[in-house]
Amino acid sequence: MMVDDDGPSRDLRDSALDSVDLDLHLASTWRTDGGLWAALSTVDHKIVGRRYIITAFVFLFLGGILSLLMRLQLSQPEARFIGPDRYNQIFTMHGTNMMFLFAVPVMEAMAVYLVPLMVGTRNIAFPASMHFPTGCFLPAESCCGWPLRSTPVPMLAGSHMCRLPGRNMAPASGPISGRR
Amino acid sequence: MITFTEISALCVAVELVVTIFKQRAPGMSLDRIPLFVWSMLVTSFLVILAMPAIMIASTSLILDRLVGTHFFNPAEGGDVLLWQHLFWFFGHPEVYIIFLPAVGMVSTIVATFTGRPVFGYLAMVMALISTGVLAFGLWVHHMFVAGLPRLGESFFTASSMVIAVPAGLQIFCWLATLWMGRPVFKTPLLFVIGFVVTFVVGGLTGVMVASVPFDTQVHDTYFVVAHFHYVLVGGAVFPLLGAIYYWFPKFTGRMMSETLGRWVFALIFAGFHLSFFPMHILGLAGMPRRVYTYQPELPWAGLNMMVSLSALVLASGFLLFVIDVFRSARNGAFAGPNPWGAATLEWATASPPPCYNFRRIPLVRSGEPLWIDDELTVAAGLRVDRRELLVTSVIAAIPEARESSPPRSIWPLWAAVATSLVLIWSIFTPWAVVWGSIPVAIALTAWFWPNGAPEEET
Repeated sequence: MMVDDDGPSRDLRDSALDSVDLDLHLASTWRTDGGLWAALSTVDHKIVGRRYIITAFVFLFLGGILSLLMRLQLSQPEARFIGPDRYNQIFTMHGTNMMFLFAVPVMEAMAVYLVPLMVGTRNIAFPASMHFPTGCFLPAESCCGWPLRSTPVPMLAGSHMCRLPGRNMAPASGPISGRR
Repeated sequence: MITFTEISALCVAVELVVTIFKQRAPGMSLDRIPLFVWSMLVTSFLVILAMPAIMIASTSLILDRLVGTHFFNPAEGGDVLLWQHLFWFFGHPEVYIIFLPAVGMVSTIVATFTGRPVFGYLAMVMALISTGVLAFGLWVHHMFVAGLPRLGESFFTASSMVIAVPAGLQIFCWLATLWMGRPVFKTPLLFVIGFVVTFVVGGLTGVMVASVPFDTQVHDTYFVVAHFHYVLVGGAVFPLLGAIYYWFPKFTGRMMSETLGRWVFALIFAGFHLSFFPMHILGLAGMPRRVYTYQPELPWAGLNMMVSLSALVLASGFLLFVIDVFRSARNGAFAGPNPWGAATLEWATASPPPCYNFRRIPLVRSGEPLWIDDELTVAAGLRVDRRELLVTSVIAAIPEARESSPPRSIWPLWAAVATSLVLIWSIFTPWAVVWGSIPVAIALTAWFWPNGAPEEET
């Protein structure tokens, strides 16, 4: 949707245009071009928000698969499908993934998409910072597969932290993951 | 990995607070803000106040592991309780960071499908704010068996029971809205009904585990697993699925299937309750959480098999949901700007919205702008030859200035990628922070290089 522009228009206001012209001008000012580079650098809250929602749902399904693996192991007593170490890793990742990579991001993603529309503005404030969520997501994902091999999840993994002298205490917060 | 999501959550929270405070359409005073937007405002403040605690906790932990500090190592004078406090000072508000947006979604869906504003707008807003404040006074109830002083336990028992008051108040406001309106039971509203039922059950077990003697009995058993899945899945995932069905026409311009939607709801609701309700009983029968197996002599086998089979029903519901999303995105019926006859501004523009959101910025004269005016009055005077936003005052949303919105740039993405690489690298060596700061600095400098554009005009 290109607009035939005769030179750079100076201070063109929406009050000076009828609906059709206004749509064309606004579209040429605000649009995101096609192509991967433009998609990665866009500042349109709707494009980033939609990408962010889809990614969060992918994590929901990954976390869901982990929970099904756990239920398979627990369906019968003394099942030998998953060993204790691997089971610890799976439930640690199920919880971390659902809380940090699905639940919080998906709520923010919905808000990134919807809040500017609901308050009636053209874009979110500081739109470039939206790339922090999306830019941090893919590395987070690659990091996510890692613990299934070696458990470097920075939680209370050391066994000395799980026992206090004189008290039988499980860490209320950290999963008791097996050491590598 | 957790630090990534904290950084990103903080960025988004700041963006949302500024958008909500300074970019509302003219006339949208504080008492006309949609309830979803209110809930995101409170959530954003919770993120800003709670996330730093977990960042301190995870940074101290990585220092313990990499450079030999002993923040959490009792053998060297560190304190393992410090970890618990820092973690749960974040961890409890985190529950509300997930739950409050869901509350906003529920209010939005209830208003649209009953055809009337949510009963008790002021009470709803006050409940949101008081939940946000109380969220910071609850964290010790996750630590009742850590051996803390009795007085502290009593205080946190009381505050944990107090939090049920704003939650209950909101439930009654939604029930009153359903009672007084003419509810249309489309899929989004079905998920809301499922939410109310499930969340009330989860709330009741929440009041149970708030009392120290009971909590000592069921701590680290499947009772707790059942409780938090009831509040998180019932309290957040059900409203979220309802919200996807509700806003899907706005996102894509097409409707999702009503028939499949009912099946999705039925499978997920039944599958959820069949798999998580028995966990209460397993917990009371003594089954501990985080165990990978159990002996055949223990009386848990039958219920565990039932839970596992029901989990398949739940999973099939989610599978059907994905099928519905793909099918509807391609072949769904066209939606038009406002398929549900809703009242809020996002339905005043096309579906999906054009890149500039609104042709002209609407002028808001009530809390339900699209139900009051057939033709929205609009504000004019923004430039169209560059990206320009209208900045309004915090309380009454009176226009104050025209502010330029930045053009696209690739540097924010590089900055994010560089930050992520530093964080991954720092799992292995502390020198990552030193060398990794160079690409981060380059990306940030390029991002913030002044481009000579005027900042704002009044």
